[in-house]
Amino acid sequence: MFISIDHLTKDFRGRPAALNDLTVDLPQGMIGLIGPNGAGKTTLMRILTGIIKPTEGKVFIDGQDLSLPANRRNLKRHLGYLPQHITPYDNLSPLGFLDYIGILKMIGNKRVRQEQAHTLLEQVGLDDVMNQPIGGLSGGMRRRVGIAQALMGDPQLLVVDEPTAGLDPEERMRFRTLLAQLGQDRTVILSTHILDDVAQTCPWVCVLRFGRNQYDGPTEGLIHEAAGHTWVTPPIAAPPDNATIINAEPTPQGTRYRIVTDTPPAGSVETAPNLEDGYMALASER
Amino acid sequence: MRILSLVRITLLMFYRRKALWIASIPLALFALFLAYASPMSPGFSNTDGLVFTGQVLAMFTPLAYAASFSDLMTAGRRTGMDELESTSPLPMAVIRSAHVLGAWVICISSSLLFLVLIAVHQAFKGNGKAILVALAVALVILSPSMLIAMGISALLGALLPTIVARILAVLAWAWLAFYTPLLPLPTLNGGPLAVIGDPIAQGWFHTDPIYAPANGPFTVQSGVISLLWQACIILLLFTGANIASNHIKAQV
Repeated sequence: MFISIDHLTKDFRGRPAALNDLTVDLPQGMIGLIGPNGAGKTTLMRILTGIIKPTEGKVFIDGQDLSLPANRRNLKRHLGYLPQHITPYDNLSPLGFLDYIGILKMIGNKRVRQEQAHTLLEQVGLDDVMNQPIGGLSGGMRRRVGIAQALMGDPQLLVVDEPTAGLDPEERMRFRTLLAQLGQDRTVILSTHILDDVAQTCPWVCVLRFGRNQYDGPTEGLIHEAAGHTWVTPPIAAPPDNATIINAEPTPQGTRYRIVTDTPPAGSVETAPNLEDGYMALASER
Repeated sequence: MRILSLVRITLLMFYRRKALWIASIPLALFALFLAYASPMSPGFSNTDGLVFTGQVLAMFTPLAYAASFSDLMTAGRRTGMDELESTSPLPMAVIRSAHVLGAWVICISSSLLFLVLIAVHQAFKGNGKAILVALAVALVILSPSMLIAMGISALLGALLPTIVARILAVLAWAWLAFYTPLLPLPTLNGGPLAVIGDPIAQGWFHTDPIYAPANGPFTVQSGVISLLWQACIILLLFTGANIASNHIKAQV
């Protein structure tokens, strides 16, 4: 699915615009949606999924104008969504909950729903607890129920908001692999603060800031923003001025900083940038 | 069929809500005790007794539902389920109607069970129509009362903080069910707009009303008006709760 967002604005009463004249085209495949808190990522995803309507502007998905109710309804048949905060009905079992989601997605045949639910629960590693009440599951397990429900109905557009929050490293990697597989033949919008997840899975990235599009394009392009500006300092006592610190590694001689800057301290060594460096370089440009 | 499937799942959800049972079964048992021990009681051995028991259940058990359903339209906002359900091609009104229907089936089940048990006892004693009367009482007297209490609770819950909504909903139901026309303040009791089934009980089942009618005995027409009025109230309450909940969701 090809998504075209045209001059999108969303105002919430009494607050600054969550989206401010946002225009961006998103191709099919895995797309990373990143930006600081309050950048408008969740608002954009809620508009893309038809939960809320924009104040101004339009969204086209495969050329279909989402402002038309019939198009929104049609989109919802092919949509999978994982909200940032979701507590599935704790009185239901994972199997019952996925059955419920299947009904909501208008999968009429109960056998088909049950088969899909079984397969997905196996994929997310919940086959042992699929008949236990969700209320008794751990936070990570509930998150995995949320992930499985988003995949019910084999959606062509998958929108996932912070999907790996609360997952242990093993589960995170498993889910990342699953997402990457899904992204081969559909559109997956992955909103996250974990840039490593984006770097590993998304060939395309969109950076939002203050409700505006700060960057959209290949992930490599964003990494390239920091090329020639990424340095590792020698061990020093105090953090360098005029530099964005990416990380700090304590050593017996002092702290070694990875920084993005045009004016590195003496003795710094230039290094190949990664997505974090590119993102921070872009942030420092604003 | 989809709405039936949704109702089935909702039934499971509410069936497993222990708090609902803990609140409703003691109230139903208390209502049964009153229906038996009250000086007004015709006893449990005839059709009048079934109707009276249905009315007493319709007065007391909704107290539990007024307290329990303040989050019927808003719980999903807290849990994120509202967002998820909004991405369904099914209209939210259909999904919420299924939730209300599922909740209603669970709510009425305990009272209906008690009524049917009394009716079965009567049937063994020779009252051939007792079971039909029990079902009719459940449908036209108990159900509207329960749905009105749930609707008040849901509407207030969509507009106010849940705890405030719970208290106000219980007070509102107490006023609707227990405020006697003998006191010098307005009440629906004693008139055709009463919501505890007096017009239907007297108009259709020819039993004595709990509150004396202000303008002569209730007739068949009073029963029809009462039922239509209650249907309108139920529709208005749930539509209002749905609109209020959607409006708030759009602002968040």
